[in-house]
Amino acid sequence: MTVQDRLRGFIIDELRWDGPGAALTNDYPLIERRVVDSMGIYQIVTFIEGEFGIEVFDEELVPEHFGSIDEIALFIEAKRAS
Amino acid sequence: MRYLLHHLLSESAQAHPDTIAVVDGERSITYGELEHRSNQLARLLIELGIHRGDRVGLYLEKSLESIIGIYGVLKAGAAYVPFDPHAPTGRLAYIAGNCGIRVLLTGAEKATSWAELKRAGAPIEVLVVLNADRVDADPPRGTRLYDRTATAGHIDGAPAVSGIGLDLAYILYTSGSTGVPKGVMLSHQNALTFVDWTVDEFEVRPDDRLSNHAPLHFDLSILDIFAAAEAGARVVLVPAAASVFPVEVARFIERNEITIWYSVPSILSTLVRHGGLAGGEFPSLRTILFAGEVFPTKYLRRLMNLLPHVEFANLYGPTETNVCTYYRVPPIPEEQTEAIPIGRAIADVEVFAVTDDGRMAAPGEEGELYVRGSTVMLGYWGDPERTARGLIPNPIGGELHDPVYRTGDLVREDPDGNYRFFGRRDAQIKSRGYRIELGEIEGALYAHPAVVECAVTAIPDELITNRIKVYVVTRGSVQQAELIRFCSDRIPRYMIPELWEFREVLPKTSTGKVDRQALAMSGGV
Repeated sequence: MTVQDRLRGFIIDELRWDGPGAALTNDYPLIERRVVDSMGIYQIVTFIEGEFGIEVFDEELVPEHFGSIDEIALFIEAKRAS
Repeated sequence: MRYLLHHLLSESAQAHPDTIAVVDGERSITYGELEHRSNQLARLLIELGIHRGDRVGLYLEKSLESIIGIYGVLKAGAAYVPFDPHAPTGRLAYIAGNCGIRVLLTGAEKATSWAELKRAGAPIEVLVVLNADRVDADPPRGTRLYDRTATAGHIDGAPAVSGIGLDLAYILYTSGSTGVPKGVMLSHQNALTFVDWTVDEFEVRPDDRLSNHAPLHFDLSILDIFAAAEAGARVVLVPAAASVFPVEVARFIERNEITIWYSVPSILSTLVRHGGLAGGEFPSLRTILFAGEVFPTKYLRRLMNLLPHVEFANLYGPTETNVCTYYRVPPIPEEQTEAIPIGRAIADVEVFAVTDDGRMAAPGEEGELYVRGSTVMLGYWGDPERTARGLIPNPIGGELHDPVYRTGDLVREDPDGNYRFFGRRDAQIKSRGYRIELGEIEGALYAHPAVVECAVTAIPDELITNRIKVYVVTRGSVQQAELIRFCSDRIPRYMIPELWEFREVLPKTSTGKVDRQALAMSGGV
């Protein structure tokens, strides 16, 4: 399962995405469409910290890193590489 | 003399037509344009058969267009009903049916939901798209669709519609204990009394820049939008990203040189914890107002220490009273953990506490808070019984039987005259500033055929006030995910329980009611 698929699974199961799973594409705007709200963002952070063994700092909590599933995956990749 | 909400706009448009009124991301609109475009919209609405007293729905993402929509509706003599753009369509269809909405102002981004809304029983006949010149979607059967060109074709000049301050200006639907939302009716005068007080108390001036964080269906937005209009100041709509990322909140305040911020405390708590503030930020910011829930004292103190040049005030009031009390927060001692008071009454409002046996509570004695004054609502739409329970003849006023509102909030008065909030008389809770009736969540769950019994409880939480937990007894096997999906079609996401516990049976009291206390104890909370 790719990082993207794991993120998608988490968003569907834990953040209660109520649309059809197929509509939640890798570039779907998570923030503008309110898939992720002010609580959801911390759930995602907790999830990726536990799942991918990284630590997310406050200053990294920006739309550029969390705007879509692809962006989150890129962010995780960059964190693991560093 | 101004006595209607849209008079505030017209006066500012006349005094300084070229001043920016509203900022929405990269876009903005001046007072002159806002006046002009809302006049055109009002004329279109009148042509569509809208009369004084009618209700017009507002169903689009918060934007310049939704502000134009608000004023257009008011200028047509009607009342606006803001829909939560992210609520389930079933709930919105109920609201539309409940207050008889025939005309819906909407946005192209909502096109995919129109048919569903109609199928779910909304009596909508006309859709007016405010933010697109051309809409590719077909209107659902039985509705007519107008785009922005229909509005733009109308001449300027406010239509001649008479009105008085007691007329209905807007209806805000809040969670109802019987399983369906209830519509709080507020008049022009209800809002104006509060707006006048705000402008006066916090000295809102033309060079102020107010944030608008609250959604339009949340009464906090009344302050931002109309206090700015009264002062001829600028209101800046907070984008979605700034609600999610604390660092973005900080950037937003900085970049827009916000002078007055107003929101629920939870967003300010996360700003303190994760916003990367080092102290001394936001030189333009002078006032932070918060309302809707209790601000955890330690985060409030930290924020005040980080921003020593800013004044802080707690505003309190159920939607039914706009705001009825306020408290300017003095420096908070390091060792204090107790929540700050809700304060004392705003101008032209009276509050008092009544004991269980119907006496006026003495200072220090617990009682239910009653509110009297011109910010108090007209009633609940289409529900005279509920209105009669909420608005009762003044029990203390002697011969003056003017209605007072029973808040259901338990308070105590400090020796210095400030009131303190202690809790609720009923099963209403707050979570992240949202007002939630636990009964409405239970109502949604009971609609599922497999749910035999359920009890929804609130677990106190330092950051978001309460987390929602449900105990369920089901018939046959039904998955938690299935129940969550089922709830998602009926209640907004913030009402869906976070914690689920499946039981064989729920404990009962001697009178056969679910024993919530026993549940809370057994749940380890």
